[in-house]
Amino acid sequence: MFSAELKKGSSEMLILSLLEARPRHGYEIGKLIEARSGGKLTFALPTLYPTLLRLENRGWIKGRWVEKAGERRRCFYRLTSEGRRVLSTQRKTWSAFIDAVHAVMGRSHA
Amino acid sequence: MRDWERYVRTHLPLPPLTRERKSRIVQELASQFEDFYREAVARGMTESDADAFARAQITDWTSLASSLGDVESSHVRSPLDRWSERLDDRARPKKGMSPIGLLADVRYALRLLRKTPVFALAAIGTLALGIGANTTIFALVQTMLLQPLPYQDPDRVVMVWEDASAAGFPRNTPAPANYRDWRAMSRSFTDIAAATFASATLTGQGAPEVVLGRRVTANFFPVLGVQPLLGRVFAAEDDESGTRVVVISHALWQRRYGGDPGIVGRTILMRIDPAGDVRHEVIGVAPPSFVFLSREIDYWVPMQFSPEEAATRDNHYLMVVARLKPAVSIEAASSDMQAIARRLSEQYPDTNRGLGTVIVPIREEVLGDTRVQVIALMIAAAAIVLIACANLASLLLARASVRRGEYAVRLSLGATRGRLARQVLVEALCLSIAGGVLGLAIPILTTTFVEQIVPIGLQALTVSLMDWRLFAFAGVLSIATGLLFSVGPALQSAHASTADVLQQHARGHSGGRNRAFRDALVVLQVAATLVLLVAAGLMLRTLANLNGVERGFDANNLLTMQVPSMPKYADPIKRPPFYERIIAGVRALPGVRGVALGSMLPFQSSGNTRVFRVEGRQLLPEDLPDALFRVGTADYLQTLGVTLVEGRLLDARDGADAPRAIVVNETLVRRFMDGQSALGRQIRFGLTEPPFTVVGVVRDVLERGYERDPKPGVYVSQPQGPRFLPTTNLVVRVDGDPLSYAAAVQRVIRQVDPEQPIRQVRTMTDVIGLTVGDRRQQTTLLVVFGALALVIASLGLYGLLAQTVSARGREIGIRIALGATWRTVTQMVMLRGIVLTSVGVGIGAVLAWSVTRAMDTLLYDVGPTDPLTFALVVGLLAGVSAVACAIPAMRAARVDPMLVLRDQ
Repeated sequence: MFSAELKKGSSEMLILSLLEARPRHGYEIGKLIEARSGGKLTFALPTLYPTLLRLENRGWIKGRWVEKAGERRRCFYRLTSEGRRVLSTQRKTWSAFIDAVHAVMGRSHA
Repeated sequence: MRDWERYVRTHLPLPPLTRERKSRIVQELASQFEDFYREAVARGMTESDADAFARAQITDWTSLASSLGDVESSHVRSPLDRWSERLDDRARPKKGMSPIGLLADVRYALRLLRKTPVFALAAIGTLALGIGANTTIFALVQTMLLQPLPYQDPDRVVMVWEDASAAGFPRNTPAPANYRDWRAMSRSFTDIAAATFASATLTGQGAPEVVLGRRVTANFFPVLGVQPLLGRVFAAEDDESGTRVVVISHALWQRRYGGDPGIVGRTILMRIDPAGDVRHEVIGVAPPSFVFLSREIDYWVPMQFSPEEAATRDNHYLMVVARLKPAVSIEAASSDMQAIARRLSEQYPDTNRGLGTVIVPIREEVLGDTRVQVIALMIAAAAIVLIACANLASLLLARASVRRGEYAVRLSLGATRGRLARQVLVEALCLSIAGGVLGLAIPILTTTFVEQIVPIGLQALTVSLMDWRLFAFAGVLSIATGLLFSVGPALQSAHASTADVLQQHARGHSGGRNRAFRDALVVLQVAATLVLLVAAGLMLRTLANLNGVERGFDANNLLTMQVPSMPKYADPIKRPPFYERIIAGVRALPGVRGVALGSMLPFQSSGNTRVFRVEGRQLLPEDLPDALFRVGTADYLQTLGVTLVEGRLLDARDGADAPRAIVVNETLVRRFMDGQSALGRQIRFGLTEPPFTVVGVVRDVLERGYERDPKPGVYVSQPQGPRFLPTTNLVVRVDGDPLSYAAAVQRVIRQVDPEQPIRQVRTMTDVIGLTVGDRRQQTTLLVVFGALALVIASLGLYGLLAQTVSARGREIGIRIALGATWRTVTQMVMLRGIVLTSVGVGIGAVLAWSVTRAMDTLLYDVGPTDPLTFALVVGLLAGVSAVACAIPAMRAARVDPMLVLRDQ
């Protein structure tokens, strides 16, 4: 549906924003992206997992193995304070970019 | 269901990573495979279909592995990061609440310290020196003051001395008959024992060896309450019969007999007196910890008083030790003994007139002045730590004001004030514990130097990392220091408020409270440094005074060694030829200016006196005609380099058949010649010996060391001297370094007699040094402590002013822009430094004035409040702090107003 380049550029931001509300595990993140985009965006495991690892190594998210009652042990990722800051910057940049693109393409509602 | 972990591990060709990272990646991927699998099953697939569905999620394993490898390699982490990350993981509370955890604090502290390595290293270094110095002194205190003496119930063990103050011997060694009477008459002691010095030559297996030992009464070990390590101690029969039995020291047992377990019952060859049998049966081995007045003693034999010896009252050479009865105090025992002494002096007026007794607890006997020395060192070391704490508190405060912004942000994000304070405490503890660990090296490295302070009557100092007390002390001190220097900064951080951020950025100042507190810390450092420097200065002046004392002979370029008298030369006929051959051989060596043998060298003995009578002179009641009696071979006085006042010195003319000649010192002339010339007067010793004629008068030689009062002294030549006084001390005057002649001189002696043992090869300067030895170590330590304090305190002053200058840069810039000159700006900065130093010096001087009085007994010819020392120290401190102030002041003057103003 979308090109690999476009997806890759946005994947980090998508993951960060999904973690904003609460910690989630890797499988849940993949499923959520698919569900919320109505199936238009899918991140297969070979793409998703290296991204998670990269975000963690940058210190933007942090994974921790948690065993919740009645569930298997899973690695839950949470947003670090730095990740939160990065997300808010990215969100601003993104909306500014979108606005600019809209303005140029003449489909702005404003 | 599949073992997904194994599946991933066998398929994923991961690049080299740590095991930890690998397993993390494998687990995570396996976990996701499991999720896919379960979802498929939940959607109604068969197990094998679900399995295939899950496996289909990853087809290109190689490309996944390479992208994971890229992600990992772009993030190379230091071991410290990994460590702190691990701490972080562990510190996070399980329920996912706020990250309050001690380990998280530690991790945060480590990260902060790593960001400021200079501060961290300076702080750890300062603490290491301070804690190390204190641990070293603690080892001393432990050995000298805390560790009980190796006796049973040591507080009840006392020494009993004769009090012959009138003759210049306030604690004199008792005579045998007096000891026996005391033992029979006193009621205060469970028992009284006696010991005396002895030495013996060990032969048989191995090279001949001269060892020091003691003759002791049979009750000696029981009085001290000491059990042997092996075998038994003496029984009453051993003392009465003439049996040849010996108890040896643990050290001798190990050294010479290789710790032979069968040593008890073995016969060893040991010649104690010329006439006696050499064979002695070893009946016991003393415990390794045992020490009585000297740790150099290697054997004990029964006293076995002969009937004549037992009746002697005019020859004083015993060491008497007693055990107080349980309920008897020292005072009660003293008055008991004084009463006995009075009765004896009435009964034996010739020998016991004016003779009292002194009872001294054994600990005091052994420690003497060194107790004061160690306490002085302890205070000095504590002052160092105090100064270091003040300095670090000041540095942390400076950091705290820089970090106020951070604190305010954290507060507004919900951190509690207690938590901020705890963070500061944790940071401080990280520093102080690192300092403590490093500081443990100091006692280890300085053992050989410091152990010389430990008196010979105590076990040697041992510093071992195995000693838990040393560890505990260093540990407690590290934590205490950490808490001490961080309390102020911690309170400061707890007082941070969210408004601070705005204020600080707007005005660039660091609160008044903070400033006053840091000022106080600098004052404290200057004051403590002054006290330390004064103490070090007083000790330096004492050593200088001692070295400057007129010794009465030339101690430079003199080599000395002991040539102990061997039984085969005990015969007075055989002795002189032996001495002559040694003297002739040594004199022939190139560079030797003079050589002689003497009975006792200067600084070696405060006693060895004989009672004398000046012929034709009436004794006055206050007279004490007791003179140091020294015997030397021809040219002995010339070799020492004494100063002749009148007449002549003794030489080869004064042989056995020549008229009996004697040289006397000025004190004898002053006290006993009634203002007339001594030359030609006759002096008599004993009732039967013929008199000597005075042929010369010399300046007083410091025979008794620096600190005892001078006594009358006489010198006679060896051929005319008494048979019982062997001249066993060789003294050689040389050109250049005396020790460079030591080997050649020893070779000469070995050529004369290969069996002749040689002991204590030393320069005369070293012999003198030994008498002030412990004071020298103590002075060195005090000087090192003082220098350390000076450096730390001046850095503290510098740091404070430098920080002020950078914090007030804008104000200074405006002042300069408004026309302030170089001079006014410099003055402004320096004024604060000068005021702080002056207040510190004032407080320090008052402190030093009261503290140094306690050192009085250690000082020689300088008062504890010596104005010169105080003036020099104040001058030094003022000079160093002027430099410490001048550097920041100059930097202030160079502030470019344009730069500062543009910055706004």
